[in-house]
Amino acid sequence: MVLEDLYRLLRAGHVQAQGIVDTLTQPLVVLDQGFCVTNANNAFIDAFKVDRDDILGHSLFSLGNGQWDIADLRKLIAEIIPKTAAVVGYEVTHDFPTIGQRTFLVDARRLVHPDNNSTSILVLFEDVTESNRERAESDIILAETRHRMKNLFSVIRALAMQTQTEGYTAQEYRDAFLGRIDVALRAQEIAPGETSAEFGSLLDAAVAATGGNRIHIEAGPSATLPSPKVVPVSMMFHELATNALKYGALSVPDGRVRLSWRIEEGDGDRTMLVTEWREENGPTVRQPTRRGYGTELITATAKHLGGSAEQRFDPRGLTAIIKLPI
Amino acid sequence: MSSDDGRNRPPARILVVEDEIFIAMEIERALTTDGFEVLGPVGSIEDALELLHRDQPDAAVLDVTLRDGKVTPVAVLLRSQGVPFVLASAEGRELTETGFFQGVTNLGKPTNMRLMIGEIQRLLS
Repeated sequence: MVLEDLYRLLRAGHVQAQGIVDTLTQPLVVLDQGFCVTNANNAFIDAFKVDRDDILGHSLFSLGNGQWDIADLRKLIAEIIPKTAAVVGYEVTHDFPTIGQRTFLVDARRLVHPDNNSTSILVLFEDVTESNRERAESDIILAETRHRMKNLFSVIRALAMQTQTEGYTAQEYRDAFLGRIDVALRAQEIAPGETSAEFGSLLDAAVAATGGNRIHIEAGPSATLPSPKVVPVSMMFHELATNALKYGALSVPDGRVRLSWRIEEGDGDRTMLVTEWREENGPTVRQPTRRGYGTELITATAKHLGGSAEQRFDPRGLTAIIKLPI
Repeated sequence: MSSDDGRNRPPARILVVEDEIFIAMEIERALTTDGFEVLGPVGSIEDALELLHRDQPDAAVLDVTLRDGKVTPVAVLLRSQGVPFVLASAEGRELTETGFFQGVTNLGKPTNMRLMIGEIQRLLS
């Protein structure tokens, strides 16, 4: 029931009908022309932690040592209502001694009794403190989402820019680009939000699509990576797998890759996660004449994360040692 | 990375602070293609401060929200050293309307590399 419904009921002379006003879940107070409380419902008594006997017959503005003498509320009841008869959704924020800082939407209505022409003022309160807070929170979440979206677009753009075009067909470019996007997406999924990822699952997600079961991952000591590092680290192993498929061991049916990791003490008091990528049974390896974008990406990523990446072009198979601080 | 157009003047050195490696590489590539030397890229406040202990850049491109917090400490140090910088951040307009970054150019994200080069040339001139 809203104030207008109540108004219709009360206009018929039921202003003292406690049963009706008590059905309201929102706090309601009825004032006379001198702003003295003639009625208050249970919701009002509960919400403001007052005693019914202490308020009936007293001016609203003098209640509880004047805690209701709120400039905005006084303006509404003493100035606006006598002129306009009804006001809906008037916002009042006040720090109450008993219940703390609250924000209310106040509906107020002037009621003239048909039998004796006396005037009452109905004042209905809706506590929006909580919903205002929730709205503020959702605004923050929305701003954060917008920020992440922009970042994501930048990453995709950067991936497109760093996927090689020279000497490749449009089809090859598209496959390489989409391969990188897929890895970024899968990597996001294994470490959603702010969680960290278990290194074994990261490796699995990074190379499974490209290498299948021909890349054998030997489980090492337990290690986790914080979420911001998950995408770049996944990308490094995706690039190694892609290169192996194009030029290395995985380009022939019998070729395999062994992937293993260990933890070592690094410089200072840093702990390094050392991953070894070892290609076997592939074609004879020759030192490449120029560095591909994939290799450049692996080196730059390791450096950016405070580690290093070294690739050894052993004729029997490529070995890559990737060291990352954890 | 040549500096022929500058008659053997050494290339200007630009610090790049960006925690997304792919974006960092794109910025690095754009700068080196245009004849600048890149310091970094680094992706954390800690790494940026450590780099600034060893080296002084001529200008800087800064992302704002990094893995280990806001880039402000790096920007404070750069400003105290008189090193001009430009921002490349996905944050909203408020970022450069008030506070420490008031009046600083934010190139936004995704960043237009040509605008970035133009802005750096303007900072250096």
